[in-house]
Amino acid sequence: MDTYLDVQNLSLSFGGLKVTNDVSLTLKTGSRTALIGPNGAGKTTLINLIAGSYRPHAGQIHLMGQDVTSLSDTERVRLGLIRSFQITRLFPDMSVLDHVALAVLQRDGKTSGMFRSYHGMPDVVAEAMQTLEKLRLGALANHQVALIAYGQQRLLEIAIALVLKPKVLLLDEPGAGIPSSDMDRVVATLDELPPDLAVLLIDHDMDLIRKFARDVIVLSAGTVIFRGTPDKLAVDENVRKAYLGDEI
Amino acid sequence: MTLVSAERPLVPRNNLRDLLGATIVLLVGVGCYFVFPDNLAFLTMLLSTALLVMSLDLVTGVGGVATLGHAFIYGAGAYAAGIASVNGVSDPLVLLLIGAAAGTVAGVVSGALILKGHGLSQLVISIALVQLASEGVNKASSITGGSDGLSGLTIGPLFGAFEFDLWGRTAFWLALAIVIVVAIILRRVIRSPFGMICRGIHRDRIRVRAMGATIFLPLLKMYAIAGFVAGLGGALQAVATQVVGLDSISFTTSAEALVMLIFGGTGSVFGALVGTFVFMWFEHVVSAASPFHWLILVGILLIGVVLFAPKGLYGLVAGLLDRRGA
Repeated sequence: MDTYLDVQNLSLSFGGLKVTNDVSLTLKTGSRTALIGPNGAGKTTLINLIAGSYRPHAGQIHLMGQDVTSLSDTERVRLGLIRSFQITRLFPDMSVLDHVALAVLQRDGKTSGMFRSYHGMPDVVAEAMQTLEKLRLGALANHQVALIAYGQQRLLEIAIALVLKPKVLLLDEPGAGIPSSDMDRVVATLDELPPDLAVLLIDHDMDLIRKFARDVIVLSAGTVIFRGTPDKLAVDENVRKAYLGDEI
Repeated sequence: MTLVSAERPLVPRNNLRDLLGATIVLLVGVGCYFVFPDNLAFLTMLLSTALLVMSLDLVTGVGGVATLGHAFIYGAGAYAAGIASVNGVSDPLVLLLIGAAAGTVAGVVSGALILKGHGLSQLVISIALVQLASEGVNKASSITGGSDGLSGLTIGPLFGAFEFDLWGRTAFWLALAIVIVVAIILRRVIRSPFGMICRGIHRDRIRVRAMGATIFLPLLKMYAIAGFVAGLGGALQAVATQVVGLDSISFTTSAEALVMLIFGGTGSVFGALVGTFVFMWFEHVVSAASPFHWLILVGILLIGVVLFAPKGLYGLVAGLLDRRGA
């Protein structure tokens, strides 16, 4: 199996605080890995490091065999390393369809066009609509993003990430803020992800993780304290200590 | 949730608004021509200022770049056309093109400098830029006429047939045509994929980067387009008045353009037009009626707009239209 993402000995400190401490992980083709850990363990920081928003103080990141440690976040996106955000980052005054269409256009390098609106490009609209339908957002296509529910904005985040055709997908709590009645859409979407895609998922929802993940990495205080399958997780002593404290 | 109906077609509505907006500008223009035949010079100045404000809207309203030095570009267009005219170029359309080209260069230069900063530092760079340019023009008086301004421009007839007469009729029609064409083109640019990326950069840079887009290049391109438009405006002013003064490249003009834009509403071409029109008429009428107190009234009006119509006058109207589903 090919290694899509290879993270070696990544470290980052804010002042004296080691937020990422010698973290290594690999995602192979078709990997479904969950990254969990108590609040403040440095999960989002690790995503930011892998995605290129932060620069590590030490360590290397290889994407599809290429060293991307010194590449910017934008360059990594173009190589197929796509992330979603824990707190939605959308353009409040644009429509739902605008967001997905813009992602399609950007992926295909068509954002330099200055005179023709994407509404006149049937293939762009069709692909965007198809992705929205898959997440059952089709009926909201022309709604302004500021006016749709937060859960729907979360789904739109996933739609944008998917349409960028990732090879490695970093999902930062895709389920956070989505009402339990809509969680089946998230689960279904995650189920239908292309099989060869490598996914790293942060979430607190153990139900989701058990359904989705084949591997679990537990992070505590910036350090990896567990690697293994979800069923081994519950009986691991280190994990219990990290979540519940030493005294128990 | 159901504030907006989902099936509302967005595309035809945009084209309809283009047409409607252009028609309104044309009708207002023609109306002004017949109602205020003695004010054509003022109206032409208003139209050339509208080009400056639309240009400012591209970088500030659309791209989210803070600038108080946009008249640097406008002045570059005005002086380029003026200097070319003094040196023997007389065809008005060639002069406009020279101004637009100079504006494009000035736009790229200011973009390259201003985009290096963020927020407040952008403002400081932009002010420094226009002040330096203004001082440079003042010192280079052998070419620019310095503080006396550049006069003695001779402008040939438009298309070889229409003289720039004393009443400013030719200049007015030319200005009106340019503003309408530019407004329609710019509305399309703002809606285009390129315009969407720039709007996205304004709202959330991190999201745009996560889509794989860069920040600097699209904004620099936007600055080039804005430069073309503002340079055209400056050249138009030079051709129409046949003088170029230091005020065209001043901080004051830059700041006033920003006030007009906020007045009308940022981020939309029609907002820029409405803002310029209302502000300059207000200034024109009130300053004549009350030469000592008109700035107080302008200030009160501006505070009123910012407090009660934060999206500007056009934003207020467009919001009402949207709610009615027009």
